[in-house]
Amino acid sequence: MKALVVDDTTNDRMLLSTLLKSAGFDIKEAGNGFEALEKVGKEIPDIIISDVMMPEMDGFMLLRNLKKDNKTKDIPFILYTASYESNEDKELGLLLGASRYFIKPIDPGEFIDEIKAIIKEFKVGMIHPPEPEISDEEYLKKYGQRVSLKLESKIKNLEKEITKRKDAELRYRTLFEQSPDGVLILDPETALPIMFNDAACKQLGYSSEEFSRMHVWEYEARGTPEETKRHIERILREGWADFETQHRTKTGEIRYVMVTFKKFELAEKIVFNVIYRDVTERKQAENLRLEKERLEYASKAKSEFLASMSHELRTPLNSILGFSELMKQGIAGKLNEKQEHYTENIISSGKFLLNLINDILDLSKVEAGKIELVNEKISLPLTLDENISLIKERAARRKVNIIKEQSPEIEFIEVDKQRFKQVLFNLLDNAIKFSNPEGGIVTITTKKAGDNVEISVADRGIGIKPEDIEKLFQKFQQLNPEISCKYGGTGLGLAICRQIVELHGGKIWAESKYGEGSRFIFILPLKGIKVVNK
Amino acid sequence: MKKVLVVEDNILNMELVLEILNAMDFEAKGAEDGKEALSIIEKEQYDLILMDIELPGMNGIEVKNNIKRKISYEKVPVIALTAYAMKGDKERLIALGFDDYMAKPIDVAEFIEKLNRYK
Repeated sequence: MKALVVDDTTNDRMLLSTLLKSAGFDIKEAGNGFEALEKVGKEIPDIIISDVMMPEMDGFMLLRNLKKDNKTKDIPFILYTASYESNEDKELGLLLGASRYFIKPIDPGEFIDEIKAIIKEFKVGMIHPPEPEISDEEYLKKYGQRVSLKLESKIKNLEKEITKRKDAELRYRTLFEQSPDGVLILDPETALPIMFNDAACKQLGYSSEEFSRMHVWEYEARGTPEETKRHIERILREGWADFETQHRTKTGEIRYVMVTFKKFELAEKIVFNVIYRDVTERKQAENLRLEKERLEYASKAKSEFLASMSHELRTPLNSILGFSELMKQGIAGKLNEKQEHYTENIISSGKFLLNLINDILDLSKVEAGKIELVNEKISLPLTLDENISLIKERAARRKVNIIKEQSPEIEFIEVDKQRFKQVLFNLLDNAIKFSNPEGGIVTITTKKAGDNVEISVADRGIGIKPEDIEKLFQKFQQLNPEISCKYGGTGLGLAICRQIVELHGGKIWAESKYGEGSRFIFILPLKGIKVVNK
Repeated sequence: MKKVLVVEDNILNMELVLEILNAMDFEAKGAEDGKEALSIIEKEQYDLILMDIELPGMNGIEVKNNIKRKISYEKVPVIALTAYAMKGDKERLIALGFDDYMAKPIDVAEFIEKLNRYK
């Protein structure tokens, strides 16, 4: 038995053909009404099963044409449709002479049984296929109605579909355009962007016009263009990649970027979906943290080294100073004058070495930032008095008079008391040391100078040559060997003073007239130092 | 005569301290590490202990803790005598239970003055 299946949808046609083949039919297929007429012209089938809605010529028109031809009007004809499902549609089909009008989907077994029944009925001539009971005029009118109704609803559906898709597109477009990450579709062959959002070009400081013409390697800051090309080829093979890299912006700035590449197919072209996430701020914070850890580690290592150095130097000094002291006291027998002198030399050198160790460690600690200022509110006049009483004996020995010239404007200041006293002590000690051996005057002055408190210590001693003033605050810069020999000192005192003053946010300097004396001045900012006006 | 035990691994510093103590009429004895010190105090009762901190094996803090654990030594003063003389070292060692502290290098006069208090 031969059946002709007419349907424009390949899948539907194949499904029906397979079903009929399995029921023992010989199948011919046609994609629309015209093709069907052609096939029927060559060979009359036992039955025709046709879809209704088809391009070129639909099922109604096909049926109408077949019924007009005597050779074909007796072929049983079944309309099988999904879209013309209304009663009026069915009515028109049957009016045109269709044997059955089926609405998809229909149970396959039932379908085959029906078809076989129809063919059997026709074979035995029990029933003739219905003659069209409709005039051309009426047919065209009805047909026009059915088709236009169908088209209308089809168009409505399409419109609905379009609106739905537009909504979906708008949602995706918004996601795409509003993304803070750079999102682009990249052509793997050219490494140029096919489309991209605002963030993609803004991250790099380019206009979208500029960015649309940029190859990946023009902003990739790592590796050569060749390497970037090879990387893209590898990602194309592997399908995706997640990695961190650096991009160079239009102005040459380097940004850290997390990159995701994902391969997908777009209208039969393979492309990448690429996301650029700028992580520079996070990266910088991380680098800062690492740098801080490194510095902390280095600083810890340094202070451990300092502690052990201090220990190792003090241990032998204990014997040097201790035994020479015992010797000097005559515990090992009475010394002659020369022996006593030599022993004293050992003791004074040993003590000098001890001071040097203390000063070096102190300075290293200040320089390593190990010193944390413990600021407290102190009375400036009281602190000056404390300092003076510490050094009074030494001053008296050298016949030096200490005079205070204090401004009543400043009473309390907020400083690290120990460190402040250390600076003052150093300056006073120097001033006494370099005063005239016949006696002299050392003047301490305090005053308010703008936003600072200014404290100065002046002597009338040997003074400093202008070319030497610069060197004063450098480490181990005693002005000449004679001075260090004559006056002692480690050459670190003023360097330590400068570090402490600067740690307080202040400044220290010296003024001098050679032969007439020197003045050492330091200022500490009042900002953060509380001042109480009397 | 009061008995003083000196725990010190540097033999020159040991000699120095024993010399001064003997001159001050103390009965002084030396131990070069913690182990030796502990075996000595097992046998004899001392009135004062001078303890170096940096020692081979047990450090001075551990040795001091072990000594203080003995009932007969609970009240015996242990003085840290150490070259750990940076800011905070004294406070740290006192906080760890030493009865007193002296930094190396010692000032002989100060050393004598301090030890006289334990006579």
